[in-house]
Amino acid sequence: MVVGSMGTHKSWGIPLFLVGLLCALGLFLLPLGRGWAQESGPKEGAPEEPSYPPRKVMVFFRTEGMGSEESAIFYDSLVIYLQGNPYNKRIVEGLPIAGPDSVNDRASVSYRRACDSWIMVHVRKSGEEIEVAYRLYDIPYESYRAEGKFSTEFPGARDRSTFFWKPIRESLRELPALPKDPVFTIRGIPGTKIFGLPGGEKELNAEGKAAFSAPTPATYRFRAEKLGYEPLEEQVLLKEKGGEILLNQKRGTLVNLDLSLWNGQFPSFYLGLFPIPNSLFLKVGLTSFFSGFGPFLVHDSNFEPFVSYPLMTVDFQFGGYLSSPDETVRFYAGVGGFVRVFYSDLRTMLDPLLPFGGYPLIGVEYAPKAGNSVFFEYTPRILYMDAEAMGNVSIGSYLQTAFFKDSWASGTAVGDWFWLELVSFRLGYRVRL
Amino acid sequence: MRKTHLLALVMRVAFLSLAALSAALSVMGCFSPSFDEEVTLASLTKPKLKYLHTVSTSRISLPTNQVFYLPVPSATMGGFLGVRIDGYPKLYYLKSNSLKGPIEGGDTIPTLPGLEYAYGLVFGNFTSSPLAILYFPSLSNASGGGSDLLLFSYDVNAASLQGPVAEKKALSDLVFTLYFSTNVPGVPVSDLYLLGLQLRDSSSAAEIYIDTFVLQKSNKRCYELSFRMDSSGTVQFDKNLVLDRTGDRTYLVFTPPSPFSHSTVGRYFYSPDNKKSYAQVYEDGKYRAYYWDEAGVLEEISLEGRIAMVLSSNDILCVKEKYGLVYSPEGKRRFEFALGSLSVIYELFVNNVPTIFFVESIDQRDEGGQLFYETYTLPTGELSKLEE
Repeated sequence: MVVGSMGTHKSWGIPLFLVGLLCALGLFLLPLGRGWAQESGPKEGAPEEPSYPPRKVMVFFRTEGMGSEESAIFYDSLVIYLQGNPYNKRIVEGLPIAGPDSVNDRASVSYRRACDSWIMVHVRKSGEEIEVAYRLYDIPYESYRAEGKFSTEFPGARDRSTFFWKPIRESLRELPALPKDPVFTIRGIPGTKIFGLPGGEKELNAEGKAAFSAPTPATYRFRAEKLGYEPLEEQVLLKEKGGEILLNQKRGTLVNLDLSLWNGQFPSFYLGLFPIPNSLFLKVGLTSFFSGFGPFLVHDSNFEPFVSYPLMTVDFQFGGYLSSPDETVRFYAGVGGFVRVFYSDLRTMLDPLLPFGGYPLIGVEYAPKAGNSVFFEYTPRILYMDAEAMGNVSIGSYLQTAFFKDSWASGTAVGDWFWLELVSFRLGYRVRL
Repeated sequence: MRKTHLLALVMRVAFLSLAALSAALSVMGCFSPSFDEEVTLASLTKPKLKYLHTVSTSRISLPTNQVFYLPVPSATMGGFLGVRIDGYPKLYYLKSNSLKGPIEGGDTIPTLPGLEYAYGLVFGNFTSSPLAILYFPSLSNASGGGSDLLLFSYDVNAASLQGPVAEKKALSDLVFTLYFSTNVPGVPVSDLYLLGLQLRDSSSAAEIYIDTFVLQKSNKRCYELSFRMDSSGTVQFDKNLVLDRTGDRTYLVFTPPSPFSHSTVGRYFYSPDNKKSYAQVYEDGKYRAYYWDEAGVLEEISLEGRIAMVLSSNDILCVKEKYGLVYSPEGKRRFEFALGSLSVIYELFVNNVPTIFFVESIDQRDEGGQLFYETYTLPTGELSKLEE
């Protein structure tokens, strides 16, 4: 018995070993074999890498022109077909199947069933023709990922289970894998650019929103810029799983008022209007020479603390800012033109000698706190000169009324028709209205 | 971050530099607008005038602004330049057509210091021997005589013109006194006071009229006596204007209180065509103007500014600050025009056409330049063209 038993052991040992080896090999090769089998199957798109967590799609289904039994058949075939998707999307039946009417309510229903997206499929039967419309909505990103329509003859059971719903199943590929971090939505004025949040610079879309994911809990500091609006810098604490940041953007300055002294001597008042708030400006200004500080340093030492001329200039300016509205120091540039109004005892008229002129302007304003500012604006001027009205008088010697009489700084004639004033500036206080 | 900080630093430095510069300029207050009201106003009028000539003072040291210029009605002959130096008036003759033109004469006028020039007139042969007659009212009454007028002639052909200033003899002078008493019998000279005097051109270049308004202090009688002066300096009594106007009286007695007394500083004008007389006195800081005609009744008229002249058209031309004002003979304002840096000098007959002379002084001495005088003319009949 013992020998027999021993003999029995020897006779089954090798085969059992071989069988065990083959089984182990088979277990090892089994996954490969399943993979090969899939790749050799119908070409329905490459499967995605599994993401965590998988996307869950709630299916809402509505029909038109069908009986309830026929609707149920279509619905069952749709759900079964979608559940067989290879894109790692979990399919959850809608409850109720037809789903709510509004987008937000559908999102709410989906959230309650732990779904992060929904798809609404609308089937309409018209005679022997079937029309299908669908929309796939991504709830965290608040955007439609796919939508489409197709129509065909009334499909049979075999068609419904093989290719009829294929466009809808393929649309599931548009649903991106959810990041591990929660997704936040930021809302504001469309076109606003956001800086400082994870994922790089963002721009709010036409609906005024953008999504981003960020590790939480954490504090983030970001800056929102939009042309025509005050820049916004905020610090937010993101501690929940997803949420919304609402930007409280305020429109930029539309009107401002300059109280200034031309060349530090003569009062001027400018009213600025901004076609694009904070950026592009149109200005109209008045500079009165009726009363001003006199030239303290003069050749003949005739000190006059105050001087008066029957002259006024009306200025027009167009320009734009080169710096952000919330900068402490802002630069701006533009062009300007002006007319000189002469108040004679006879009548008010344009100055017959130097009636009008133009200038480029470059300015800098300093606002320690965002708001009102002090400014310096340089406006080297060129004026049209009516040399004929001067007669035989050399215009230069008469108009060089500055302290630096014989220097280029006080003004000089350019040819017979122009007069150049390099020293021309405004210094003043700018009030935002 | 480092780049951002650097840019911010540069911007702040730039801003502070600009602010400091502008603040410094503001405190100094160095600049005035490119604007000169007088030049601007003159530019309104000058295009309507006829340019005559320009003279310059290139070779004259002019330490003063007390200068006057009497242009000769010629494009090439320039005119007389009077200057007050060390309290004495000095006269030069300047040729035109040369911005650096030579001084053609220059002798101290042999009169008393402190004279105040009132006005003058040119006449004579302008191309060979132009004459200038000057009136210094402060001298006349202070001297106790009737009036002292200074007559100068300039000899264009004198050979000594190109020599040193001290040796020039081309400019000669003649001082004379008008003795009104010779024409008013029985009136001592010491009882006469010259209230005003008008130098009036005649249609003849060889002579001028000197119209005088004289007060007899003792009895408050006023005389209007006209004289003629020829180019040799000879003065002749022409006529008693009161007698000429009334036909039976030789003097006026204005109803008290008369604005004229022996201390009146006044100006006198006579318009020969309508035989109206005007007097303007300076009282309490302002001018008051009066006129009278055949009846000899003094009437005050409202004129603004100072009467510059009564024109041959009988209109009254006044100057107020930087404007000229034209009034009718009765004192009704016709219009005003811009003068600015232009001065109204006198009215002369040019080719028998009464013509107003304007002079613009262009002082470029502050810039190391010279003092220029530009002369413009306008026929009196076209004066209304100046109305804006």
